[in-house]
Amino acid sequence: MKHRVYNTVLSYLQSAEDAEEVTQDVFLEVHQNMENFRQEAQLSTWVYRIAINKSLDFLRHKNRKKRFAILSSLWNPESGELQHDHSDFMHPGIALERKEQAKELFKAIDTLPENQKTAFILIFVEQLPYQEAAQIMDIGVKALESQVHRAKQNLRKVLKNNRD
Amino acid sequence: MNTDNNKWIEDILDSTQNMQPAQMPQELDQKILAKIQQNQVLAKRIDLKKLRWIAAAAVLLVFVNFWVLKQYSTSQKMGMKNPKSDRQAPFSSGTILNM
Repeated sequence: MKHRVYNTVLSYLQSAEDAEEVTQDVFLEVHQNMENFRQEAQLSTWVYRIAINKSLDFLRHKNRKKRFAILSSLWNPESGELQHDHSDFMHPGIALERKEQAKELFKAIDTLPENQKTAFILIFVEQLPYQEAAQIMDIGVKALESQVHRAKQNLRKVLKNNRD
Repeated sequence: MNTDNNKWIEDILDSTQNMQPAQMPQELDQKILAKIQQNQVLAKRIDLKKLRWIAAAAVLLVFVNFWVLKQYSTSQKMGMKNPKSDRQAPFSSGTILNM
């Protein structure tokens, strides 16, 4: 379960350092709220939900910081490189021959709205069955299929724009 | 050209096929445990702080009650020394009824 949590968080945050921080927070929350777990859903569903919520919270917080930051602070003052640039993210689980393609994919995933991002990550990165992913997102399977379809459409648009 | 583009895009979308989940670094286990333990210590400190506030509030309440009772018993004693003043009608001195 811990690897699945880490994998999910990493897919959202696209940074090993950030993923480590958020994974710790996830397990801390699981530990703190274990007594409140009502067993209405499976334990894995509950843990996934915490992981997704923590990841999305982290991303929102990061985007808020970016919005308020003066442009110059986005760049590393010493090297002049753009900070927090996820375009170089290489997921460690991708086969070598597909790394460059996966790099493009994760860059595009980063642009998706939250629900579509979650749907895509659960189905194509976590490779969960639709039923399980739908339970985690607390939506029906049809609604999930719709989110996945829209996610793919948006990804195609973004990838096409990136290529042009 | 368009076909090549589409193929390129579809290949990218399929790039997660057969991917392996990332493995959590081993040292992260220790960090998680440390964070949980740190949180437990913090929770105990907060509990003690709460207890101190509750104790202070209780002492204040007892003190206030004691002071009120003391005031009440003092005023009762003064009332017993001057019984007439207790029976004085509220409108006895140049008030509306006399007008």
